[in-house]
Amino acid sequence: MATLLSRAEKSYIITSLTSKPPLRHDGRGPVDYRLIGLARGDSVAPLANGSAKIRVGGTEVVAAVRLEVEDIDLELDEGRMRCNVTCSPAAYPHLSANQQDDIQKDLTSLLQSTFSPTKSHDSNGDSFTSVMSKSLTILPGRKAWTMYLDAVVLSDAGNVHDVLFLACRAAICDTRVPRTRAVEYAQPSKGSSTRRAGETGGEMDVEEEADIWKTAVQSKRAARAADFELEDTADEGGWLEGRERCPVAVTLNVLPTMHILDATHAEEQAVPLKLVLIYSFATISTQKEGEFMGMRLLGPGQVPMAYLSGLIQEGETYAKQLVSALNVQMEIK
Amino acid sequence: MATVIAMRKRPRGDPALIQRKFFKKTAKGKVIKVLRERYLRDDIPCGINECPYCITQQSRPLSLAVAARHSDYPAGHYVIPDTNIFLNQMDLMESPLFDAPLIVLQTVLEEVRHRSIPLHNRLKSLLRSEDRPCFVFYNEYREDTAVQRKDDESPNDMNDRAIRSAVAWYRHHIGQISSARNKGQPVPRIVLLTDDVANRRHAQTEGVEAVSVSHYVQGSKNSALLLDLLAAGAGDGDQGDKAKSSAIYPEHMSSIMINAGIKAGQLQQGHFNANDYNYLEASTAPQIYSTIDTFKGTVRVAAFPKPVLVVGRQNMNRAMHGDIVAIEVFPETEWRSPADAVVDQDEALKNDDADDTEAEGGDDLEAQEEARIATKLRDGSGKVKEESPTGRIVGIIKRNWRTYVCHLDPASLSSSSETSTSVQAVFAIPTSALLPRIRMRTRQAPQLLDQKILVTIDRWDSTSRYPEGHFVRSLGKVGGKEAEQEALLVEYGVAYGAFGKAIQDCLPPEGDSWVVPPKGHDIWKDREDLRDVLICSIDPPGCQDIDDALHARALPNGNIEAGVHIADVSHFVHAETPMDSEAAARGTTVYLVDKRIDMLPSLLGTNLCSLRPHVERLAFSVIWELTPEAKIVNVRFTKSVIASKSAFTYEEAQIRKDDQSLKDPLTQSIRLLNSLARNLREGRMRAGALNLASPEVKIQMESSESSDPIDVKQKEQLETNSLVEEFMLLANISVAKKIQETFPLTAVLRRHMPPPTTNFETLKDILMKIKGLKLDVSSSGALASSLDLCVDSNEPAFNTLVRIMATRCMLSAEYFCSGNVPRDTFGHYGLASPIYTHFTSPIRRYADVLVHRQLSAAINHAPLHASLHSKDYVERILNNVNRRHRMAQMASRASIEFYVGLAIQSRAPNEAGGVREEAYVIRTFRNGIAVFVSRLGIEGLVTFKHEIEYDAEAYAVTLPNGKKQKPVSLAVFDKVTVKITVEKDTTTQRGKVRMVLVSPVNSEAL
Repeated sequence: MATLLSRAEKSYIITSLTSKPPLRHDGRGPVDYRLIGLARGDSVAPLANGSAKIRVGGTEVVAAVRLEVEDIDLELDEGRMRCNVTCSPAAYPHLSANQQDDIQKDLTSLLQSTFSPTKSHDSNGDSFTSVMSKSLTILPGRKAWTMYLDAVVLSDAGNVHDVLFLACRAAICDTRVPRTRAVEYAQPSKGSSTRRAGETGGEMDVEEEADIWKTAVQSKRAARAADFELEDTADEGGWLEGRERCPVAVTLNVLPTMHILDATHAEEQAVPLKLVLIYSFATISTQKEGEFMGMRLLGPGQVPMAYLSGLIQEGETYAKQLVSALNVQMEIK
Repeated sequence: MATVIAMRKRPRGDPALIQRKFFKKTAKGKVIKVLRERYLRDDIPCGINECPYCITQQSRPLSLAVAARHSDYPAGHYVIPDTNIFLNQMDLMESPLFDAPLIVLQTVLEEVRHRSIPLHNRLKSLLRSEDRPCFVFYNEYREDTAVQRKDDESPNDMNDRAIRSAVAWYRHHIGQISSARNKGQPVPRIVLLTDDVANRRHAQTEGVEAVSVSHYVQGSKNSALLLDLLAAGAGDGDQGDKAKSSAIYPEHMSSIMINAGIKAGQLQQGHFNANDYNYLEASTAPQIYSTIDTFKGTVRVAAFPKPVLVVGRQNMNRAMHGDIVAIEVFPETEWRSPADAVVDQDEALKNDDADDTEAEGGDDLEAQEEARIATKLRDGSGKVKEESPTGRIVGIIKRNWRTYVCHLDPASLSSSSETSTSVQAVFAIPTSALLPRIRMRTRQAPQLLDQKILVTIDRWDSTSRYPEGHFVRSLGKVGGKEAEQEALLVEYGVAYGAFGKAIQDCLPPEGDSWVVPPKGHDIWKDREDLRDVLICSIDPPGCQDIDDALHARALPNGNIEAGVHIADVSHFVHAETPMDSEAAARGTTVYLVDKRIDMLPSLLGTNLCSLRPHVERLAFSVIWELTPEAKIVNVRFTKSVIASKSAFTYEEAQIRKDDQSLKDPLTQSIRLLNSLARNLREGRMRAGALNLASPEVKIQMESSESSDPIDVKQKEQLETNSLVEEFMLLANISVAKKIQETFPLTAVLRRHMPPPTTNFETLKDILMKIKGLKLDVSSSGALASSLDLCVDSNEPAFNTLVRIMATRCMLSAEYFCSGNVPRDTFGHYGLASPIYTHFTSPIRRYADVLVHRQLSAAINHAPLHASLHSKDYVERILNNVNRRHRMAQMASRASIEFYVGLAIQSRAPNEAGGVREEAYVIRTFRNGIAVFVSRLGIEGLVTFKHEIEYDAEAYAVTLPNGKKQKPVSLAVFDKVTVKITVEKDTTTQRGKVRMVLVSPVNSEAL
């Protein structure tokens, strides 16, 4: 699988793809995906807060989300996200350790920049990241969940970007955030304490006894709250807010006249240019446009600018289909 | 012994049933997800002996053939209690009278463990006891009874459901068993015992038999006795009543709120100390103090150098002495000075009625008192005494409740006829004046009237003025020596049981006849033969556990060789044996006036490890070469075999030393030791060691057999006392240096922190104002020399008195693990030594045993046990030893006090006369004075019923002296004469030492 193709083989693949009708060696149409296998939750990583495994053909990625309580400073009062991608050495047996490292770093930075863009980037108020990170807040300005998204590429038989994003999306959608409530010590009211200290002449403050101990266990609001507690230790917690917005990637393998989706390893080698498009959708049912979150052009080929915008348009359609298919599987409304 | 366990394959496809997931918040504030897997089986046994279905190798404790002891269940029954039964009614379950066969479910066992470790331990020992038919059914591992959490179900509901499903299974199972055996026989019933009304209702709908505890106990054989053991509030009717009565105390905050408050710095945490002069005032802060005159206490907390004052019942908010509490400190404008009146709890609370929680009787007095203090503060605002931080208790972090020794308040009995068996609410008065009265219900009130009884507190609701408790058992008649002695041991938590078999098994099998084996035996390896050295021991008369012996001899070079030989206890007590853990738990030997509660079995303490004369014994020796001026030339440590030549008492040794006609080598060596000791002592005093007095008295018994005291004597200090003391100090210091060098992280050391100078403020002020004397507390040396200057030529006892008062300002010494505190805090303030440990009494102090082990490793005699390399382990052990040590001291002091009381009684059998003694005023209050009777070593309170003039600034009270004469003013340090009587307080049954001022003014009229 991992062998390098000769020029003749590449040429054969390209010729058959560009013929009419286009031919792929596994008999798929140009925009057909291979069968997507999904497993998630306890059967993947029961100790994680959310996890999923996606298998598309021979490409297999496991992703898991782990939440950790961290102290945050006042400026950044929301939860953060840290992404990390590891490639199993078996995924790229023909590459040296350094080259594997490069792939890992490349994929990691793609995930990190998509899910946790730097502040200045984040102009849009209700992007997935900003909505999500709000639900990671425990005590505003003091404590928040930091989300660790770890993905492992177990094997790569082509189209690793799409599969990686699918796995991450599934894992994030599978994530439940333990419910917490803020705990605050409320200063008992003033009047009663002076009375206790001894008022002269029998004159008594008519403060209600109950008021002295007015306590405040309020959720998420208390700015002065010092600590939090778990509402229910046996409860897995609630879904991440805005999880349906979690983005997917669609890789268009561009040939001069057409493009194919979900390229196999051999096809990837033959096709000169890959266009990775990342989309997020608020809700599928409303025909609202998706949010275009990122793009990568990979490979030695070229593409004219005019042609590119058409590709982006088409990419959105594919992405929408992919998301709705996944949402059905994940039981997301 | 091979046990066959059939492993079952993990069923696939139902992860929810086999996996249990939950989140846990760690102490550091992290949240971790925990995953537990369980493997369900179908062969978890039911524990019934006749069961043909369950296969088990264990013995089966439950039998179908149990006699029917319950009126409701003539065919026999099994009791399955729910968790709350064990949490609330442990005394009942433990009672030998409660003899129903018990089935304890795993769910219940685990819930009890989560809720209370002490109760869990009691439950475990109940399960181990052989005279009770008990069985633990692992219901969560049996396929038929395992439950799974439903959506929206709270953990409690799930546990209740698990319990019910186990009960239902048992019912079904027992039906199967009996139909398999014999068709005709009646089937024993399975009874779920629960006080939870909702649970009972659920059980009913599910066809499970469930009853409340009180209902169950009423039908059982010993119901009258058992009903007393029932913890307060059990039963069904109570809820309604409670809702009606209004809250007397503010509600406590929840623990999470308290934690939040403490983290945010708005609350302080500390130990609550009830103030024993005045029970309405208390403090908390790094330390909290409270006293009762208007309910006060103190809490010492880290944030303030002074303890935080807590005044008044409301502010004390149900805290009891020793509880760890959360306190809110008032703003500085509301701070007050510690109260200066004495309130007698018995007086203040006389009018309360045990039946009526809302009795307002006590309130008037309290209100008056509080108003008085308030006015006082206002009046004297110009010259108010220095104020202490003041606060109120908002929550209890940890209760220090245990079993208390009490007696009934006869006044609270509504019907005292001997035959009455109706339930009465009565007050139990704890022996300790620091505790409030405990309300309890009993049927045996008239019988218990003159008994010392044990009472456990169950709860203290905000609606109840007093804590509620229940009767546990009776110790015996009030005033009886046995009962009082046992009461004392219970009160101070001293383990006084006999040593168990496992511990006895750790002793050498030869027992009494053990002797040091002949040379060549393994014991002699690395052991020096010091049998020919002239070694002797000097101890108090009648001492049986001789753990130290000494020798000294002149060396040819003009120096002197001196040796201290300590019993080699670590040879017999090895780490991690049952004997070792028991000794570690006991921590110290406790000495009562006529009883000794040993730390080690007496075979070791008084025989094998006692360095008796003329017998060969194993020892651990410290041998110095000293110059005649007592400078150390060198020191070595060695294990040895010695044969003491003589066991002297202090007095004998003294006489021998002073008798110039005696020239034998043994006497010479005592003289040699004495001259060295004198030099050592001088050296120590130069370095700034304190000579602190503590009132030590000795109870003189009528004869050696009888334990009736006839007199109290002040302990005599002979030169030889100090001889032994100096060498023990020297040995301890030398050993401390050695083990600290070798094990810098885990050495067992002892330190005495310098007292904070604020502790001395009052004493300094008193001395300045009354005697014009200055006390320099900047260092131990300065303090020592300024104490030396505190003399009054007219009053020889004055110096001792000041020393006693200074001692009370000190902190107490403590053991610590060298790796856990900064190096510069190792010092021993009182001894003015930079490093110190305890090495010389391994028979009666556990820390010494550890030190022996470390020293033995330091000289490569034996490898150090792994546990002694662990800082945590050493620290944990030492914390316990410190606590035990404190308790032991208090117990022996209390024991002496009791005997002093007996002695006073025997000297003045007619109550009217009493004993007249000289006493010194040590504290003054608005309505009384505290005096110290040095000859008896006791402190007492003289209270005045009428208002007197009180000058807080001058620490003086002015008493009117009849109509004609001028009033007399009394200040701290003034000598007075008091009449001491011991009277049985008619209301409390407490043998109370009562003091009345005889001169300069007779206070009986006041």
